[in-house]
Amino acid sequence: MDTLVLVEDQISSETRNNAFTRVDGILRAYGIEDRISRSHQVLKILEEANLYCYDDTDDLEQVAADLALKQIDATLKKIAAQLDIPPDTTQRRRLLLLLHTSKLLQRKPEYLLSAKFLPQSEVELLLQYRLTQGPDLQRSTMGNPTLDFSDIDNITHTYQQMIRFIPGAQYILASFMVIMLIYLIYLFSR
Amino acid sequence: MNPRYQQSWKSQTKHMVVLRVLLWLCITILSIAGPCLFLDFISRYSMTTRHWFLFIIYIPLNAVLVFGFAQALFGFYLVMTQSEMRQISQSIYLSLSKTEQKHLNLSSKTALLFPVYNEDTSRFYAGVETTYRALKKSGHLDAFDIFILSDSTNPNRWIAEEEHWLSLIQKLDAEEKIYYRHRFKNLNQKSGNISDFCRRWGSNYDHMICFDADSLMTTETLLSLVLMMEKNPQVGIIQTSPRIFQGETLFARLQQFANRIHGEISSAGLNLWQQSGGNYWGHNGIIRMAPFIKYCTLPALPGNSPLGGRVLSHDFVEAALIHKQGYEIWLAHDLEGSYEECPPTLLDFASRDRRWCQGNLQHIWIALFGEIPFANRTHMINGILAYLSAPLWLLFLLMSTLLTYSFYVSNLSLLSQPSKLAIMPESIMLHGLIILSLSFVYLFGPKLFTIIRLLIDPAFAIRFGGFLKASISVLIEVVFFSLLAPLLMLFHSAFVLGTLIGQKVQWNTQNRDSQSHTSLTSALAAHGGQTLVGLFWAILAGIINPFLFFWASPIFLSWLFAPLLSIITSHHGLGLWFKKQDLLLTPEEVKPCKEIKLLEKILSKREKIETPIPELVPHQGLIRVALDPYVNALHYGFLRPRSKQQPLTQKRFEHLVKDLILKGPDSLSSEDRWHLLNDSRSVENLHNTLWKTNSSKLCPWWSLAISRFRLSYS
Repeated sequence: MDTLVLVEDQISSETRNNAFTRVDGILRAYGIEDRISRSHQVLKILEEANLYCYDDTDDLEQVAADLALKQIDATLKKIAAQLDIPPDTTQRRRLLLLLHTSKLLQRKPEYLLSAKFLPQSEVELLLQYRLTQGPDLQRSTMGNPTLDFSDIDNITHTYQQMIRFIPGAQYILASFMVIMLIYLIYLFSR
Repeated sequence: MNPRYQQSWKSQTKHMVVLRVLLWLCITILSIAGPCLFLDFISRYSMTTRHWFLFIIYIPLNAVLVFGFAQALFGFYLVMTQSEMRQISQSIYLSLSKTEQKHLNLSSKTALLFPVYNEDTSRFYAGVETTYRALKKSGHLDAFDIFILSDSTNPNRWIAEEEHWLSLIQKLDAEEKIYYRHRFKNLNQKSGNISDFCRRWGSNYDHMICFDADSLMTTETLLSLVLMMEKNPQVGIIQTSPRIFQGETLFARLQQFANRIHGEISSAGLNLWQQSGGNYWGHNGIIRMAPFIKYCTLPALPGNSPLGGRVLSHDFVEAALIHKQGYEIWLAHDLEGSYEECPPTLLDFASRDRRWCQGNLQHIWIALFGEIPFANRTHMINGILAYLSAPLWLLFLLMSTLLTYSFYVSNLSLLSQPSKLAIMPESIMLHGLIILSLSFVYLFGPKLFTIIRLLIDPAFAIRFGGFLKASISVLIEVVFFSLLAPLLMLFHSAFVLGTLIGQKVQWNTQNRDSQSHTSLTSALAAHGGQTLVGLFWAILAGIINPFLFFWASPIFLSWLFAPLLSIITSHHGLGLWFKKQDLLLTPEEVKPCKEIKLLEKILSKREKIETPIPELVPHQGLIRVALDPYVNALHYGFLRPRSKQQPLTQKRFEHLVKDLILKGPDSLSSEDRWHLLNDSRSVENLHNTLWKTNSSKLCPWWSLAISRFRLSYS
């Protein structure tokens, strides 16, 4: 809070409010529901972001959002290490889902941005939540088609190509059908 | 197994053989006798080219009616006499009690497939949840895995499906039991979707049971199907006879009542002639996995779409392919717990028929030139004639009107020759009436069979609300369908003509929302032409001869009041009114099974999702993926990892993400947005970059989306 007060003259309150709203939005989206806890964490991030910004020309909102996301990412890497899973992006995304399904952040919001390790009981709980989006692949190949129309196909293609070759062939065909219908009407009404 | 059943199952009884021979004899004799009577009738005037033409059209029209009638006649006999029919369910005990269900020992593994294509997500998942819960309660969940196979092309539906999947497996604790898979491209639509499953996971399973987005099957039925497959290794497919349920509009209630009350008789007749040469209807049936993978690759039809190219109605063809290899296909028509919904309005029904029409007409190639078993050829020809008979009927009516016209303008007196058949009356009018009556017998005979059954079998009548109410309902249904049939005939004629001149069909999502009735504008747009045809024809008939007008008036009435009929039958309120009067009731409404009750309970407990503000509605899925880290992570997890992406492609995606954030989603084409949502790197990048971008730089649309997103949490 002290730092915020120190630079207050250089950074407008609008900029600070925008930065606050953005980081608050990020933390809320990540599941920190408790407002007091969230505000506390937002202020901590803003405090740190202030160290990189001196006046309104520096993008406090962006720096603060970046810091928040980086800290979340660092937390995920740390938990990944605890769970003994590789820290790549795919696994980190999976881990994030684990945090969501286990409702860990609802119970202990402070762990999202904390440097502390998770207690063993929480680690064990997380391990119980496994998401499998599909069983192991068991590749098989569909057999070859047992119905063959190759001879008829040739004739049909030749016919269709001929139709395409003759300009307006479709219209000629349609006209022929209309003429046939008119002839039938004539035949039946005379 | 009951030895009596086992014995009757292994061989056809003499009685069965006689009945089957009689059925085919009946079809053959009536198919020949009708045209003979007609030929005799028209030749009493004089046989000209015109008369021969009329005679030729009459042959297939008569055959279609005869086939349906004979099937119902023999079905009626079987149902009423409760004859020992040879049917697949005889190979197991039917009506498994709860204790019997618990003690079943299933040795096979079955995949339950739920293909989905831009459907109402919550209704779809309610079906999945019902099936899962019911199976779990039965204690046989281990023998099944559920696969949600999405082909959705609407990003909002797609993301909603993923979110629903996660909440469902959390709610049911169903990890590694319910799987979700989405295809980037819905190549070959439903058949491609199923083939994709077969290629990825098919060989893990012994059988698969395919559901429709709105279908439901009871646990007892699922277990019976698996049991039948285990006991009969020679069987490739067992199709159930789905009962229509959950109808709310008058149109849907009429359909479901007709399907339910007449269905048992016609299914019994169908099973009698087809026996092990049955058909597959695309869903609510069990398939043996190995032969399906090996033999059921669909052929490419000669030529291009609409008549050639990719097979649209794949089910009939798959049945033919598997049957061709010696596997039996049975219709388990006596299994009760198999349900599906019906399109709520006439227009939705017609729009579904448009697709089916093209699919069935494509079968001409296979029926004519494919090396397939006789039974499958018969199914295909039946399917083709179901649509081709519409333009033939229209032509027949047109030619008959013109013939009458030509006679009246000629001012000649009618000099008829005597009939060549001794049994026919001398009066030409009476002769004509006999032929007309025959057609009426074919058409309405099956309805009469049902009324007789209602009268004789009180237990049957009670299932439909009692004899009186059920009989009145049959009469209502007959009146409505007599009025709707000429409308469908015009629709089908247009569909057949459209297909023949090369109009392709769009595979749209079927409307299943019974609350949205047909508006006057849509009714006029769809039926305006039909009303004009009716008006013109009625005037013409009235001028030619009032007698002709009188005879054809039911058809004219149908065409003239087509928009009105379409609107009235689409009304939800009217459908419910009939239900309150205990009319058009079905057994599922009188005494619903536990699965239907469960489904209704789940549907009634659906959370009401707050509708986003109109500006955000079109890209709701995109907002969820971009802003919500967990939806983003979930979506990311479903995408294929992109480890080797070309630098150029990467750059292009980065550029697209930037444009999306700074200029808004409408600055990108729907194709670009689709590609972004399918690229894992871009999905992650979008989330991070969006949250990091200064609000002053964001396009107003995203600022609005973020503020609404924040509000949704507060």
